[in-house]
Amino acid sequence: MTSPTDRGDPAVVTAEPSALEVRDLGKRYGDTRAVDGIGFDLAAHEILCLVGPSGCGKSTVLRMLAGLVTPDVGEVVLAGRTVDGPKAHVAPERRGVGIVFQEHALFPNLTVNANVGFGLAGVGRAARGARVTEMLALVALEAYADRYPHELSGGERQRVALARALAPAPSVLLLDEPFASLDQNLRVQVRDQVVSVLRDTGTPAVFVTHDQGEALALGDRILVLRRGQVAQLGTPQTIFHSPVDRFVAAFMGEADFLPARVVGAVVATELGERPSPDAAPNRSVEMVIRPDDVTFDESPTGSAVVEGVEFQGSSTLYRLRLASGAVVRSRRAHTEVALVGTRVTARFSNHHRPPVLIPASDSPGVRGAAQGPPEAAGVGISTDRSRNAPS
Amino acid sequence: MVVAIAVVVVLPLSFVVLSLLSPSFDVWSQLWRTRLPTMVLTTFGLVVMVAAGTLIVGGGLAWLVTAYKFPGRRLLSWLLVLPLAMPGYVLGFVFLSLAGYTGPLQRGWRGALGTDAWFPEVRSVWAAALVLTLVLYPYVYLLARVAFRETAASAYDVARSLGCTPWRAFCRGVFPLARPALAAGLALVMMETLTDFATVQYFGVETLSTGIYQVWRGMYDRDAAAELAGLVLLFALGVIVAERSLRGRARYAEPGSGGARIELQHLRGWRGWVATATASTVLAAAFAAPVTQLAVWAAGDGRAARSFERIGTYLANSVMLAVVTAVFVVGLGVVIANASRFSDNRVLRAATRISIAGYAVPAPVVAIGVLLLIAALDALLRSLGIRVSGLLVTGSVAAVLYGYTVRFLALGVTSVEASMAKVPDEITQSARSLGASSTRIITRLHVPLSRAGIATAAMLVAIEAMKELPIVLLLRPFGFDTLSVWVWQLAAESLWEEAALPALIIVAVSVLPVAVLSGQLARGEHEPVSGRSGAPDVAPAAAVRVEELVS
Repeated sequence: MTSPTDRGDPAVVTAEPSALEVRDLGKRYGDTRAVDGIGFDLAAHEILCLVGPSGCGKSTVLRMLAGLVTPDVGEVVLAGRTVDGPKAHVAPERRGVGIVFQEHALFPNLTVNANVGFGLAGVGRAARGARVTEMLALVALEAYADRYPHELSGGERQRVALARALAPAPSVLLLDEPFASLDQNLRVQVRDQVVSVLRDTGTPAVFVTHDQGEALALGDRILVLRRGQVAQLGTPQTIFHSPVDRFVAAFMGEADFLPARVVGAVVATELGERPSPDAAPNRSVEMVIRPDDVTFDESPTGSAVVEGVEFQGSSTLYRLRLASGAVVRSRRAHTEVALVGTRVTARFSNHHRPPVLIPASDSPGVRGAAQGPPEAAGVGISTDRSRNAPS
Repeated sequence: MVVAIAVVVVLPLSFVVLSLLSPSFDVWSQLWRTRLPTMVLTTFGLVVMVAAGTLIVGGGLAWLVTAYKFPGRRLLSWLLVLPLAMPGYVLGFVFLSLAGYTGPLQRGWRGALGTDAWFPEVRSVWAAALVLTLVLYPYVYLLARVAFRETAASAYDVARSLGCTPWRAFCRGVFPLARPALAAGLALVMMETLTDFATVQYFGVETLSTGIYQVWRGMYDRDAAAELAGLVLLFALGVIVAERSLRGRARYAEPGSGGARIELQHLRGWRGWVATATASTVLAAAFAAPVTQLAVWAAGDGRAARSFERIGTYLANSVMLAVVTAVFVVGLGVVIANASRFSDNRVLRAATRISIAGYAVPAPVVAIGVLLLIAALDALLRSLGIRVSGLLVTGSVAAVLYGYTVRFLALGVTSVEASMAKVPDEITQSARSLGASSTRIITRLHVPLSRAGIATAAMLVAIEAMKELPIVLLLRPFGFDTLSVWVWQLAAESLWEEAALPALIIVAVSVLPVAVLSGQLARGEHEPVSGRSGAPDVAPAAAVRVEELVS
């Protein structure tokens, strides 16, 4: 099976050598294939997001890159050096990889200074002091050098953890759900700080997150994992606008699916026609329908019925059952609210985003319904993303 | 490193197993003709009696303080743990002095009912079982209490809401859920009963363990001692299997959220006082009365004071053994508990499990194993032409320390592991990614972060070593007496007044961890119990692990 990667993506084309090459990485626990044939390259200065639902193996991948978990098969090449391979397993302490955990994992018995200096054991005292100061300046925490971790706020701890991981100038920085323990307001702020530090230092990084919004915002590229396998690898735009299948489409945002036919220059669905992105004639496909793509008008003779109404503050999310029995969601910002049971005529909204098509799902009984693959079910409609489940 | 430790721990045990696998017909027929059948029967009977006794006393009291409200419940519920601090060989001789022919109990009895009045025979297996029940019931009590409180509360409430009386709710709802905990407690009790030979010897009871002692110390018959030790080991395996089957498919009680508690049933009027009296009687018999008697003797007519200067020497020996053992065991414990942080190797994991097997092996077996090992070593050295002091075989302080290390390593490992568990894996992993060696991580991070736990572990091991009797009795060199050995010797000669002071010292020292434990129980009722010196936690785990090894 060829993995659905897009190496031809313009963002990936670069003259510099890879910071990290991962080939066919695999790890089983008992009968479970936690990670199965993962492969990707990380360019110098690139930020890659590993994203997927809980239990998809993303944290295991990260731990294998750090050397904390030994892969069963596959190769990891760090800056040209094979650190995992058929005959090689380099211990984590000899890899020169930085890691930042969700819970920061600062050493509670050491000051900020000593925490940041911990990885500089082989360096002379003066040089170490200078490097620690430099790192603390980078994360704007010079004034906190003599504090202990428990005297810091969550965001400050995260920045110390970052400074500590960057101090020995790692060839790659790994971040495991680094913002999940921060509250919503702080998260965006710390995220921006972290990304700007990574850009300033030119450190290539692999982020693990289960939050597709974070992945879209952070990553130069995104690797979507599903049951230990690569579901799709590409830029955020590619992943969002050209998902390869229902799973990726549903995981990266609220999505319903309607059967569609490409006829010449248009794609025809139950909701109407849209211009076809690629004019392949007479192809059976499915169209990914985001709630923003659908609107409706109340009409006693309409063929669709409002089945559910969820007030979401600035907008309202409706569930519409179409004549075929398919269900699509529609988000409207209108102040007037249609009640459950109202007959309506559903149609595409008048925006000019090209339609997103995926190969037709051949599984029976899913035609048009918002079911998607089991892992993705509910992801689209849920506004509360589970944060506690490690992957 | 860990593998080496595991080998060192298992070596003495393997000698015992080896001797069991290669039985010597002469030895067995000799043993059989003498007292073996009686010894096996007595051992079996004693173990069963003590198990039944502790189940009734420990389980009953645990249910009493968990489900009923009566005067003094709160105070009694933690005082009832105190008998853990009373070694059997101390309670045993105090019991004999009080209930013996010349003791106040019998005299009072005869005074009331005439000189020919019947009184149960004191030097009997029944009396020995009673004394062991009184010192061992807290194991069952502790584990049952935690299980009742945390696991069984909701089951009890449901049963009550479905119309059961408290007693029926206990039988139908609570008991099945608490069964794993009760089984674990009973397994501990049976192991301790198998280990003991000092106490039962006061009562003239001949078990396999007393047999080992007599055969070895009396006749220096190493082969017979080894075969008997093998038999004790078989009994211990039997206990593990029994525990496993009693436990059924259930795992140990997981500490719950601690939210649900059984609503206390108020015992009013005389019922309440009966409950108070029952609990107090057990406490008095197992702890208060003997301590008072010891104090009276120690403060008494000066006979205790005569032994004063010797106490210094013996105390010094005890403390030396305790401190060295604690340092050894905790040092090894730190190594073992840390090793799993740096490797997920299967060999290593197995070695870790093996290294704590000593706790599930009765002390006399450990002692004989060490003896056999040293004898083999001696023979090896001799064949190589190297002459070591001939006393090596008959016992040495090093042998005692070896035995203690094997026996108490589980305590050290699990205590250190428990405190290490509070150091998140991510700390270790971050440090490794920062290029730190394992030595540096252990010394700079792990040890400082688990300092309190390591100190507690050291204290627990030191106290256990100080109380220990069977191993030191079997392995000590001539003329090397500890406080516990001395107490036992004096008591065996009925020199009770002289034995009082050293016995009190041992009890006083042993109260320390019990107080710590009670404090823990009082503070957070839902924290997992770490038992007498962590034993209830340790021994079932060790037992399970040994079983894994065997199967």
